Amino acid sequence: MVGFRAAFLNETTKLMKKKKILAAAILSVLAVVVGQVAVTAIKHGFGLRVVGSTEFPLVVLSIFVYTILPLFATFVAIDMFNGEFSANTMKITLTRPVTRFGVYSAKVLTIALFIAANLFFVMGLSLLAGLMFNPSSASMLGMLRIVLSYSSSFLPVFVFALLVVWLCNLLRGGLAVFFLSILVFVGFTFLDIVLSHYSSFFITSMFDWYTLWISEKINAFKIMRQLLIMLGSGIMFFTAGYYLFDRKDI
Amino acid sequence: MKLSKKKMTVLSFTIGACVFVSTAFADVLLGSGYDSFKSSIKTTAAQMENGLENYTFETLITLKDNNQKVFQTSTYSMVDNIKQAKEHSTTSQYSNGKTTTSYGYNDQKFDIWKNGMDDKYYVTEIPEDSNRERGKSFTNPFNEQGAPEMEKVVDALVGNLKENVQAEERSDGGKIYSGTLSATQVPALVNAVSSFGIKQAIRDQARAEGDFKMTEIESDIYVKKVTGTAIENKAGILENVTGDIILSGKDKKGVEHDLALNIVFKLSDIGSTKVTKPNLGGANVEKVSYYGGITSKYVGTYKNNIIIEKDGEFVKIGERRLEIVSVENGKIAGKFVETVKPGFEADYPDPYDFEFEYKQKDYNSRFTYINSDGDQEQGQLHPSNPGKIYVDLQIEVIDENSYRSNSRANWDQEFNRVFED
Amino acid sequence: MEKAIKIAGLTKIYKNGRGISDLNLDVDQGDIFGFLGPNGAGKTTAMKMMAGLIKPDCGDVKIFGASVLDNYVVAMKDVGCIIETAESYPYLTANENLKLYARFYPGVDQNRIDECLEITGLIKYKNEKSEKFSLGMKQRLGVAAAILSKPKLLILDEPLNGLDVEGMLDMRALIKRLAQEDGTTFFISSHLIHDVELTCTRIGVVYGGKLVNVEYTKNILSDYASLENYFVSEVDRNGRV
Repeated sequence: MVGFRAAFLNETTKLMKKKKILAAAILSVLAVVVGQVAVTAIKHGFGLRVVGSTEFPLVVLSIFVYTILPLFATFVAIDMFNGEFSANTMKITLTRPVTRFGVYSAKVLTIALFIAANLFFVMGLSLLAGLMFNPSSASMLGMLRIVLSYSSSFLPVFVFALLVVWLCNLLRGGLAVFFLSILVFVGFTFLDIVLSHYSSFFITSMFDWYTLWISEKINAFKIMRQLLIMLGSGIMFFTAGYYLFDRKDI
Repeated sequence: MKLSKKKMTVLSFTIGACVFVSTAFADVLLGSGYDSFKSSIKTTAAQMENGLENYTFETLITLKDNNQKVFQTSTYSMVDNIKQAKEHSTTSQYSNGKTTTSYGYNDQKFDIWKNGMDDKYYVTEIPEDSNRERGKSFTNPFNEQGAPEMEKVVDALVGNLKENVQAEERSDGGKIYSGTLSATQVPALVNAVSSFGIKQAIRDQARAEGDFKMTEIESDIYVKKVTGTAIENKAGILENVTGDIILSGKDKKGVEHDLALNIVFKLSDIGSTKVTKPNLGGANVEKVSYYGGITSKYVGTYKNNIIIEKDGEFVKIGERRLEIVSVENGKIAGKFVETVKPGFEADYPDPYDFEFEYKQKDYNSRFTYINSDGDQEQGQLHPSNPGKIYVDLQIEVIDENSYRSNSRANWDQEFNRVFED
Repeated sequence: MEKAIKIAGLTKIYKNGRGISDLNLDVDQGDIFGFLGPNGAGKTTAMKMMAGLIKPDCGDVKIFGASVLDNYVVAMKDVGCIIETAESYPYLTANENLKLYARFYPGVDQNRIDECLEITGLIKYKNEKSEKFSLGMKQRLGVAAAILSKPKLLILDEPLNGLDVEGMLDMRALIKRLAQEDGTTFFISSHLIHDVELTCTRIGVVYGGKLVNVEYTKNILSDYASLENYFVSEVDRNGRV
């Protein structure tokens, strides 16, 4: 447990020192700003109120969750596994008194933390922007919905990240993993359209499951099903990734 | 310890895989209210096109501005797929109290039309040998080209909003579908596009119809709420579909308006609808030729001049003469002669001089004639403004649906009636 | 007294046929064990298995009685190592690097980190990122990291790699000092015979993936003129077999 704690703290420290974090933060800010500019432009140009203050964060989320977030989660995962393998720094951690499971789960937990922090950061930013620029339509219920939406969006992106982690341990090259992840993402999205009936099998189709949480009539049964699907595939990818990580010869 | 680690790995993977696969399959099998609603729409559309012997179909569209009725239109159609007959009447009401109606009936022999402006029935008798394929009373939109692709795109856009469609079983074996979307849930893109579309549609409608008066909303336009319900009978056919869209926006003065669009479709009297031809005895009736082609009133002579440009001036070098000799039962006989003044033969070689006879079968009926070289060519007559006929010669048929006329130099297709006064 | 290292039947053969087979070896506490062999003899493979970086085909390594395979955390509790190359996170400073490693060992604080930097002569580069370090400095940082937790066993793979003459002398002095003052056990691999002769108290010769012989340095030197002669004769004997 000491080992796991140390490994987790180390992973987060290392992550914080990386330029990628800064890039993710800047891109997140940029996304919110661009979104707000677009909304304002549409409002004045066409007279359409695309979003009220409490809807703006949801609009941002609907784009963010399909773009920047999974992209950077993929970057972080690749960096943590393939990056360390190829830079030969993986053995620094692996020769410490900590099990491989400890190291693996510390890394996965750090990715989870990254996803959650990024979501939280964007939620704060967009809420602020929404309140500043469209103050007329704020409401308590709206706020609750936003928090719910952002919180629930964590799970599908995390499960996707677990898939990427598995790929990271399957393939040696970080670039190969990156392109494969993109391919999986695009492929799943495409299959989701072509075989929409079977969309339950594609994790990307659940990126918008937050809409279930904020719908007028909450379909608890459906939420339960998607939750189980994500948990199931999450456990699967986590275990498969661990199996490969544990057997790796450094 | 070692064994248990391996066991744990296998166990955990198996549990994960089982949960994933079984729930995903269950999810696929269960489908969503949206999916079954979609398949009901498809069944209904297919049945309406072909399958139901007869039915009555009503549409009611109401537009309200802050609860004041601005516009309402209702259409009442009775369709008989066996007799291929359809009767329909439409009533539109405007906020200024004005009402317009129109009425129509068609079957395999007659087209009857009456609009609200004059109290007159326009009747077209369809000849037995007409080439026209009788249009279906209802065309299934899902069989249109590109429909499956559109459907996929829509499905993808709808995404998890599918779950907002709830299906409930009714005690009689039917189903009720219902769904509500509030402003927060309408995807931003859909919101923007539909707000913009509706705004434009209202503006266009107001321009096109003078009676359609309503305040124009200018700013802060957004979709406030979308609700819908549908009732499916036990045969899987949707009998009643209602949809409401509330659009909110502000006018020039900043006053908020809620525009509510309500659409109702009703399908009723399946199997017991009787479509009967209206009795027009004593009514004001005008007969309209089916082809809109050449009728007996066109019998007579038509002329135009052969004109060339020479030395910077227009010169008349001759005359073309079309004579419609007779029109009987759609059979048209006539003559066509071109006379060139002496001295100008070189400027207009090979003038036409032929007689023709053909039967009008449809709008595109052509006649065959022999040109001055003894070759067969094809021509066509079209009625124009009163007393005028357009003539196309040297028609080259490309395929069933397209042709080209290779008119010669200095050709003028407009012929004027010669009146003897 | 419990053996510092107990290797039994350790085997790992790579697809290309190289590797190490049926390694049996005990290292007593307080030994400075020299693992001598030419390049490609299987030294690093053996050490990687000892540090748990690769899994053996068969056999086991016990460090202070704890199996590396089954009880890794306990086995590595008192071990510091440099395997193959001394690595550090290039985007972190020397101090930050050591702070990361310190988290794994209770009782290692900033004082100890500074002490280790002092010992390895890196204290003036404390706040420099290690990406700017020379090979020798990286090696020193690696040593600092290895000794950070005051381990009872140090596994060092070619510890003199990249060091200048001064560095080599410092290194030897450090090994001797730790062995004497703290009773630290060493397992050092090298292909530099002279160096091993000067530092190690016991020597194992590996050749062609096999441990050829194990003997105390003083015994060797009493029988042979130098360690080099012993090594050549051992290799010769095995080459003929």
